[in-house]
Amino acid sequence: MWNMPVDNINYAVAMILFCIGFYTLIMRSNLIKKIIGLMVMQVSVFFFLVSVGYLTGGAAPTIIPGVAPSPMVNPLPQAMILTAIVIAVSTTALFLSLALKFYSHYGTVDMDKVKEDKR
Amino acid sequence: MESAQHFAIYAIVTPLFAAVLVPVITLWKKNWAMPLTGLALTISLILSALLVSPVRASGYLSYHLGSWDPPFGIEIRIDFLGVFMMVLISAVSLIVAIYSRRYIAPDPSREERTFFFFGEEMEEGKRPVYYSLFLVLSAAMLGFVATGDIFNMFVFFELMAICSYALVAIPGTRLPIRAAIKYMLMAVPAAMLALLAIGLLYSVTGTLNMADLAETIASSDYTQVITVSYVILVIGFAVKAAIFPLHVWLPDAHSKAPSSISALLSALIVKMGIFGIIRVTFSVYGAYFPSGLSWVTGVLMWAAAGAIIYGGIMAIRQKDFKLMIAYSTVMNIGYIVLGFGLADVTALVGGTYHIMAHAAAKACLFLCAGSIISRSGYQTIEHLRGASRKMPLTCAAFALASLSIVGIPPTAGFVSKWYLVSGSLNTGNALLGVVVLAGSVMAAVYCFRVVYYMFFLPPLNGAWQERTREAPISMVGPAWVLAAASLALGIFSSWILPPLREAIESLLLGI
Amino acid sequence: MKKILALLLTCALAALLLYVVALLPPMGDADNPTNRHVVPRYLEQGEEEAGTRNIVAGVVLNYRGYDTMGEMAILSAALAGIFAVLGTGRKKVGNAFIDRSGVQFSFISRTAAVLLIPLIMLFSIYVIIYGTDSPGGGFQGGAAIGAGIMISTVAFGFNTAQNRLPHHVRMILEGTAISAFFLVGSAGAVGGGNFLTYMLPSLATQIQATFRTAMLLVLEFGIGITVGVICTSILFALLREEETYNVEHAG
Repeated sequence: MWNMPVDNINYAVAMILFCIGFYTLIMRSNLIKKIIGLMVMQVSVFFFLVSVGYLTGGAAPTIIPGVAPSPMVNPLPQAMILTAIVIAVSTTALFLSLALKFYSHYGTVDMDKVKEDKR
Repeated sequence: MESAQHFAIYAIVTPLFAAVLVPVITLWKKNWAMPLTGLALTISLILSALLVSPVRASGYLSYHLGSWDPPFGIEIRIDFLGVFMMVLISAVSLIVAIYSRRYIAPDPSREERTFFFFGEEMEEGKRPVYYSLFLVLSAAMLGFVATGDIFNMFVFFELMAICSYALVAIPGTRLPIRAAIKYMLMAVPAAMLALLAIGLLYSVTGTLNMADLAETIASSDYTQVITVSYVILVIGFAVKAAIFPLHVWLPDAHSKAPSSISALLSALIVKMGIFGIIRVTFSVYGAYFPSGLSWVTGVLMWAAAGAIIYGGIMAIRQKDFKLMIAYSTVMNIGYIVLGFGLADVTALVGGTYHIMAHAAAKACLFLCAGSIISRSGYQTIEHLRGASRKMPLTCAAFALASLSIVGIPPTAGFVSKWYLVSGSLNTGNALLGVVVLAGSVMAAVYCFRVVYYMFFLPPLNGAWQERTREAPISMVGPAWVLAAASLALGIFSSWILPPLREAIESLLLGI
Repeated sequence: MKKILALLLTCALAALLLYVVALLPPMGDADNPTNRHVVPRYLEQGEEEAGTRNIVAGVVLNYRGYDTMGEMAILSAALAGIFAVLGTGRKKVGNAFIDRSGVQFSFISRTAAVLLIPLIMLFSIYVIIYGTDSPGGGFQGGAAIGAGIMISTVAFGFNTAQNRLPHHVRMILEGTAISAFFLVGSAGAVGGGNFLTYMLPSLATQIQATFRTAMLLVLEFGIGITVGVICTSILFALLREEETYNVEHAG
């Protein structure tokens, strides 16, 4: 069952992207860069899920009247991703508004420059 | 009963529908936000309570949404543990909603002021948003515990998370915003890890329904993939449950949020993380438990012990009142996870009973803290001296709830700790029994210190103003209901323990 | 030091994930567990059972409609969260509403907007209506509506756009998705099935399919309107915050 590197290359790339996003999230002190790292993590998970649903030689899962049905790719991960993308976008929007409020309080988006804990 | 089967879905969907009605109704009648919230949550509570008998009679309730049989459609699957959590969630949410009415909207004619953070008030425009988010949060928690589909569980988990981030940040001043950012920085990657684990699990099983997953996993060849997905999923839930050492976001978030939200966060939301771990372990990966995954429960057991010791020590060291209570939450989560990590029926009964006992007591502590802080304007423990002279009822409720936190009979905290110590002795981990007792001693130190300050010391100069009075009945009442509940749940524990024990036995052994 | 620890942690995570991924069944294989178990029914019987030619829309709205309801709740909660953080009301400085004023919007962008926006709105309604039979659907159409309103904001000014879609109108419209799900679901529960059932046993067999198509259309429109209005409200809230900051820190 060792299916690297040719068959599961999509999955491997998705995992590498996930780790790149994770590293960006924890290492950068700029809040916007952290959010970008988070978005890279989210996109990599979606990429992984969509690749899971792929069928070699499959067509899009839509029935076109008059055309004979051919093998179709898996629609369930696509439905999952639809939901997950909306979730990720909503979370990112909330996070960005928090970053905006942070900026309006402190004048910077860099978390390392803001150490003092006064109110 | 034919119509009884619809009760579950309406308990979940009614608060959700009310949440979109609140901003609309507030455009015309500003004062109807809280009554609408209270009405929706009362409906949920009644429907959840009505589900108890059918679930006990037939073991579990299965409802097929859209009339599609699982695994093709989404299934709502409620066993006794689920209905227990549903009643707890709707009851605590209703009580905190009643408290919120005067907490976030002080009455100017009676010269009360509300301090969220030394002078900031919640603007009037944010109040309907508060209630709206509150309702969605309750709906999300109810949906999370009731579902039988793992992706649906993730959707409600994220819904719960977004509402909690927003509610922590709602005061809008510097410290809540920073606390919310720190919370999001840890919790959102954890949610992505959970989604990744769900994706891995789906790619080797092909289904998303939890009962179907359990069967498929039992006979699957991909054991390493399934084990790794379990570990990643548990890590994702563990960040939300603030299990030591992933608890770092909790003290800031719970102490800087408005007190009613701190009560909800500590009492309910962290429990959702632990419930997620329990549900996933028994209902999905059941075939691997306890033999194949015993190292995971071992790690959780020691993490729980660390949480108890660390939380206790940090709570004693705090000078800020709400930070102390937040670290006490870290400690109590350790108790619940210890119940799970010991992998013994008695210990797990103790752990799940502690979910309820701690929810009642900790919510009461935070509500009392909110009343006192908003009346006095100070958030340190030193300024609690002599508080009982101005606010006797609130301080008495605090004292009663802290009895449960320490674990003194006959409160509910004593019952759960008794079961935890018995469980640790049963499995031969006497050291952990000692840790539980040490935790009680530490809880006694930090709780009774506060009680001593409140009742037996004179107030500091300038701490209390002449015109400060006791909090209004709609704030004292909920605190007292919760304090009385933590006493009643201890005295009448024999009503709840047997069915809980049966449910846990069937989860643990009947897989 | 912290950098080395972070690097080690990331490498450990990468090693674990790459190891796991190598053990997964090969991508695209027709014998995968994912293609054998639940999905064949969606593909073969999706058109008659779910009533949609677009199988993904059938899964999203019919088989797994409850997830979509949760997702619309997340969108509404995100908007409420943004209002919670940034505040709701229109902010005034002096006697005028804050606006990116003083600069006349360019003739080219105004003319292009006048021509494009009606076409964009028409296109988005088309995408919403045909979402069940061809690629598209409520989300895509709603995003296009949001894009049209954003173009009008850029071309005609923030103040004008806000006057056209005032706060109370947006508050009422953003609840359409959840209300649609609640009402359609209750219709299913009342009519003899479960929540979110579309083929109701209590209706005559001939009109069941028509009823189902009508319900799906109601849901698609609810989703489309909500997504469009929420995107717009988020845009307005962020713009307002930036304008407030600029005004407070400029003078």
